[in-house]
Amino acid sequence: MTIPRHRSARILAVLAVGAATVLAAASFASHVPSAHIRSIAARGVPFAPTQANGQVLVKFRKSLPVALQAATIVAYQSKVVTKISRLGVYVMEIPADLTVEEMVSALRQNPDVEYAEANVMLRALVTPNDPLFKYQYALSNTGQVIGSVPGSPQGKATADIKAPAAWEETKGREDIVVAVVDTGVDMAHPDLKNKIKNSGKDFINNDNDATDDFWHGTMVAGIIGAQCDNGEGIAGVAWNCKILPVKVLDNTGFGSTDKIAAGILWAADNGAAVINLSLGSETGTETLRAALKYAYDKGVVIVAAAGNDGGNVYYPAAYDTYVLSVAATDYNDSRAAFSNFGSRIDVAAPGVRILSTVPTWYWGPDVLPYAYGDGTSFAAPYVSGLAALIKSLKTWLTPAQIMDIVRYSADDVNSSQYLGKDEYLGYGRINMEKALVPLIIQKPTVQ
Amino acid sequence: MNRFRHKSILAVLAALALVPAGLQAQNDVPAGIHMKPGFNFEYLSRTLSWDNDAYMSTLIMPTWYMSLDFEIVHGFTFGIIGGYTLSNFNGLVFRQLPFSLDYEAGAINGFVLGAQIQKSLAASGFWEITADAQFLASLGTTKLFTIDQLNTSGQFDAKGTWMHVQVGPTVIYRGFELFSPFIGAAYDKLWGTFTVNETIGNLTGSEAKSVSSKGAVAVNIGTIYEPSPNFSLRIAGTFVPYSKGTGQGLGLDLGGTLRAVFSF
Repeated sequence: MTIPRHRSARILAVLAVGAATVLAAASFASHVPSAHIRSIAARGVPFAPTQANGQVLVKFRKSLPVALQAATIVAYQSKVVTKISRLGVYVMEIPADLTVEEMVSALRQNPDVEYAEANVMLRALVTPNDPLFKYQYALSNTGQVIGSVPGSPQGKATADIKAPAAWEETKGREDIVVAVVDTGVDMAHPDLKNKIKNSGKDFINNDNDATDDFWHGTMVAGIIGAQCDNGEGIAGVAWNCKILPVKVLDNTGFGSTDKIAAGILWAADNGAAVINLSLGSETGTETLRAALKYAYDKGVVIVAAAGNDGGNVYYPAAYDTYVLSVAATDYNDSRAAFSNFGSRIDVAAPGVRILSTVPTWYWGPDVLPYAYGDGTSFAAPYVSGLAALIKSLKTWLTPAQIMDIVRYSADDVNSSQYLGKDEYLGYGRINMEKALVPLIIQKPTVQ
Repeated sequence: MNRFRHKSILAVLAALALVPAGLQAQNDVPAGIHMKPGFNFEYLSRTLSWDNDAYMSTLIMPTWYMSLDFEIVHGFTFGIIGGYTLSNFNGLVFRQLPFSLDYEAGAINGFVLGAQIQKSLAASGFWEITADAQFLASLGTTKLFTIDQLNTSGQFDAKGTWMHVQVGPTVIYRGFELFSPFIGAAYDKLWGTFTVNETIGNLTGSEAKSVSSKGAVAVNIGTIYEPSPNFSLRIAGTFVPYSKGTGQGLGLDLGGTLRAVFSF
């Protein structure tokens, strides 16, 4: 598959006083041709233990006659469950009063044993069949090349937010709604049309049709909630959650404080569990703060982009009490140079070379409506998606609790430079698996 | 454990205790209360279901206890039990906490209290039928754990309690000089609660999970070794089948008992 480079434009928007701007240093490095690549979808399986109960795999050295191998297992007061003949490996059931670790340790001291190990349980990982999923390093980074044109960057394996593992625990609920308070959303987009709660609200044109006439809101919406496993396009973070479009920015990506505040209030009153604000300004206003407090007090988790000029954290992200402030990392888990910083940064998420949806009219015919972009605008939606999944799994949690779960579960990826919470990545790059999948407690460390 | 089950167990225990002396199989021995202290080891392992039967895990409970049986009349024994147990609730998953936890940290110790009754119902030739009932309750202690997978330190404490009841008839063959093999079938139920309290940074949460054994009928097979009138050794294996779920077939829980009983 080839991805021709049609245009490359970095959009750096800075708000004038009284207005808000889209926080997208968007690098439309490439568009995506119409070739579809289908991968094999693995379905999730229910929770399984990490190792088969009381079973050990053992292979004896060839010097030990086969006739003595089973007898050796019996000598360990164990039973042969089966033998994988082609590999010469026995599956043995150990005595109930021994742990697997103890038996493995004992066997490894036997010179006749080539190797002994726990019969580890493996699990099917949820991988959506969306053909462009392989370019979404932010969700699952295997060290793949991100794009198919020559010179496309290659990520570092595991520099991702661990989405597939988290989707095994939850794919979200349809009644959990994420409001995209932005330039609107292309509700006819094939990867979004089934994920839209309703046509939303347009505070720019004063109607009930929040269709995107720019591109930014559609990109944000795709990251949060593009339809998964539909054999088309990309995968969104919040697999089953719905998107509520709220248009507060105009067709140039600007919007005034009153419109944005009105959009926040409307979203809070119309069922949003999470509000994504990929917009900001250097200047805060009491009106915006009051709108955020209203939504927060109604139980809404609010996520905002930190800003893209490498300076101080923008507002509304800087309203620390009510908002999760999101910085950007890249495909190597390094901080994006453009990402704003300061003590109000809560967490980071990938915000460089992020593939998402764009309006169907954006590229014109015969080209798939997807594009790459850079910016904290595209980092914040990953956090919004995670917040929606947490809310789906544990509907009783308050916004403050969900915000803390997002914070505490983040990976401190810059700990070699700044140990612990820091001004650049906050608590670190979010980790969906830690936030959602039960933590395995294996040893008592305090008596 | 529903109320009906409680009432059924109590009814069986009461019936055993109230069987008239005239119906006793053997009533021609000297009167008087005999004391029978015993040392016991019991290995209990039961497959549990929890969260409305949505999940299964296994509770393993090696238990050491002393018993003091009182043979009030010949053929009727009532005993009290006290001891120690290690309860391994591995496999329980707690999803009501801010951060869900999968407990795999092994056994927590606790004290065991209980009671047991044995009643001889009938005897003919070398054969004897008894009714047996035992109730055990484990009062777990609280254990503290750290949570070190997150960027913020956390901990949780855990405490498990359980109760186990087994009631049913046993057929004993007394045709051998020293050994008396037996086989019995019993209603067998274990139920309990495992409670965790989580604290991570600003987050706190608590969850108590009710568990109940999947199986309900146990088969006990073993033998009583009686080298003298004042000492007996009882060895038994316990087999409790349970359904793994629709279309999943049957599983089998295994257990065992070793009892040394002195008679005065």
